Amino acid sequence: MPLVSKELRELLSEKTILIGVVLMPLVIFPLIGFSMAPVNMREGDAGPGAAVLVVDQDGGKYAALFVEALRKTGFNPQPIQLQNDNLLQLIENSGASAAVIIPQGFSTQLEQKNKPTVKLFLKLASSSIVEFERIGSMRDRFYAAVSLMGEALASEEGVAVSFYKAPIDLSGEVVYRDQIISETDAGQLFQQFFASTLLIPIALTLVVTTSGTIAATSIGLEKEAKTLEMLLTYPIGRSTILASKLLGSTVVALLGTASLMTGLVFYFSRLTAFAGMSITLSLSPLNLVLLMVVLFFALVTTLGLGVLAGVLAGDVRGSQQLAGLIQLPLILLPLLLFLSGGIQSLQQPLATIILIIPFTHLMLAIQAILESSYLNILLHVGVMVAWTVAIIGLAAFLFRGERLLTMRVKLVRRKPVV
Amino acid sequence: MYAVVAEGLWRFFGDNPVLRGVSLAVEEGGVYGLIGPNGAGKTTMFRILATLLRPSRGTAKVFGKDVVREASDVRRMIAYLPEEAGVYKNLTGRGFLKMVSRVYGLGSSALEQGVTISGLGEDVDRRMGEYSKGMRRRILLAGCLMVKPRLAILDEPTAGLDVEHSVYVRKIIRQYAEQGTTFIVSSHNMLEVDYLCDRIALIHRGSIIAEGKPRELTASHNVQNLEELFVKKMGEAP
Repeated sequence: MPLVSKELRELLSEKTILIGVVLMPLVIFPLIGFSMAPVNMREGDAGPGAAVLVVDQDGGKYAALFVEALRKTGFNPQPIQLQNDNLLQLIENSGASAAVIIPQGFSTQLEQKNKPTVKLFLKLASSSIVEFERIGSMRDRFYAAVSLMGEALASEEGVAVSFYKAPIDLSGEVVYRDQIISETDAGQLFQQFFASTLLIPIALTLVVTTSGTIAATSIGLEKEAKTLEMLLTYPIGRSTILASKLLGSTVVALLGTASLMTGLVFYFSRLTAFAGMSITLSLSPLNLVLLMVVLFFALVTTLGLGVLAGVLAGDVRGSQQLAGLIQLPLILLPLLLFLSGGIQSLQQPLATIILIIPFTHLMLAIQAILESSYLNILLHVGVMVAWTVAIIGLAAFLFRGERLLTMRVKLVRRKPVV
Repeated sequence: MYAVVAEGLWRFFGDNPVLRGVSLAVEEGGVYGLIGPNGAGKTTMFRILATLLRPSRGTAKVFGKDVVREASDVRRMIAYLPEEAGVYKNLTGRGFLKMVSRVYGLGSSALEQGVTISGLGEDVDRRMGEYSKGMRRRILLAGCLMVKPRLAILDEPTAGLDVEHSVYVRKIIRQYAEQGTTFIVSSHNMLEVDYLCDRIALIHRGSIIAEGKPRELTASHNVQNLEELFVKKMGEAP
C-alpha cells in the first residue's frame, strides 16, 4: 500500500501525466462534443423534413398510404418521374438524402397479402462516422414507416400478425460517390469503410507520433550520455548533424511504417476477399504512393517537432515528455475531429483554428486520397510541405549556435538531492 | 606562433559573469594548465575555445582563427574532451574511432593509431557501454588524439580515474605534446599539473590571478609546491 501510494504521488506529480492523461481528455472531449453540436444540428437532412425522392411506379392507394407513412415519420417525400434510369443524377441534383422506388403492382401485392419490395437508396455524403450514423438513423425511420403501413393494414380484416408487422420488404442500397453499393451486408460495408477511413488515419497517427519521439530521444540521448559536446566540436556543420539525426530517425520510423503497412495490406486483402463487394475502398497503386508522400511529409514535420523537443529538453525523459506534450494535441485533435465528422462540419472560427494545425492536413489529405480527390490532395500536401519547411527551419535555427547546449525547458521541478 | 590568444573575454549566464575579462596567450607546443576551483570559469573558457559558446565580450583566437567568426576553421584544428564526456554505449570502441576518423576524413591508419593510443587491446571491440570509466576516458582521448589536432583541449582528463588509467592518460598527453600537439588542460590534481604542464594560469571567479611556469610561480610566491601556491592565491583573491 505505501508503494501504491508512492506511485500515485509520483505519477500525479508529473505534469505531463497530469496534463496529458488526466486533464487533456477533460478538455479535448468536451471541446469535440461542443464542436460537434453544430454537426448534430445540421443533421436536419436526416432529421425532420429530410427530402426523400419518391418514384411511384404503382400509383395505387397503398402507394399513397406508404408516402403518407413516410411523411408521418418525418420525411419530406418528393414525387418524381424516373426517366432513363437517371436516379443517381436526380439524387445528386436534388440534394435529397434518399430515394425510394415503389414498384408497379405494389398495391395489388398488398391486397393479395403478398409482401412487395420497395427499393431504398440512401445517400452517403462522406465516409465518416456521422454519415454512417445518419444513414443508419434514416434506415430505422424507413422501417418505422413500414411499421406504420403495417398498422394501417392491420385495421383491415384478415391480416396476419406476422404480415402487418413487416408488410413491405426494403431492398436497401447505398449511393456513394455516384455509385450504388449493395447494402445486403451493411455490417461488412461499415467494416470496409471503417478499415479504410478510420484504421489508416489511426495507424498513421501512431507512426507519426512515434517518429517525433524517436527524433527527440536521439537528441536527448546525446545530452544525457554527454556525447553532444564532443559531437558539436567535430569539423562538421550543424546542418549535417541535424540532417543525420533526421535521416536516422526517418529510417527507424519508416521501418515501423513498413511493418505497419504490411499488416494493413494483409488486413485489407483478407477483408476485401471476405466482403466480396462490388466496390472496395482498398488503395490503388497511385493512392498508395500518394499516401506514402503524405506520410513522408507528416513524418518529417513530426521529426522536426521532435528535434525541437530534443533541443529544448535536457535529457531523454524530458525530450520524450516534451515531444509528447507538443505532438499530442496537434495530432489528437485533428484525428478526433476526423473520426467524429470532418472539418467541414465545424463552426468557422474553430475550423480556422483547426486548419492551422499541420496534422489536420494529414487527415484531410488521407481523406482526399481515399476519395481520390486529387486537387484536394495537392492542396493539403502543399500545406504540409509548407509546415515541414517551417518546422525544420525552426529546428535548424535552434540547432545552430549555443542554444543546443544552453536551452533547457524543464517540465518537472526536480527536488535537489540532499 | 600562439596557439591560443584570448583578449578581454567576458561571458555572462543571465546576469552572472562567469568570465571577467580573461586575457591569455598560449604558445604553440607543450602543455598549458588552467587551474582553479570549481566554478572558476575553466569549463566556460574551454567551451569558448572549442567554439561551443560565444564570448559575451572580447575575442579568442586559435592559431589566429577567431572562434566565433571562423568557428569551422577552428574546429578543424582542435580536439575537445569535456570533463564528463560520455560514450555511445552501443558502439564498440573501434566503431567509435572509425566514426571519428570518417568524420575527419582520415583513413585506416588513423583508426589503427587510435586503437594504439587507447591501449585497450582486444577490449576495443567491445561495446563501450561495458567500459569502465577509465576505459571510456582512454577511448575518448584516443578519439581526440588520433586526428592529430594542433590544439587539444582537455577538461580534467584524469578526473575520477584510478592510478593506472591516470598514469596512462598523462603519459599519452606528454608523448603527444613532445610530438608537437599543443595541450590546454585543467586539473584539480596539483601533482598532475606539476608533472604535465609547462605553463599554468590560475583562474578564480572568472579572472586570471597568476600565470607562468610552475617552478617560477612557486619560487616567486615563496611556496614549496603548486598546492601551496593554489591555497595562497585563492586566499588572497578578493
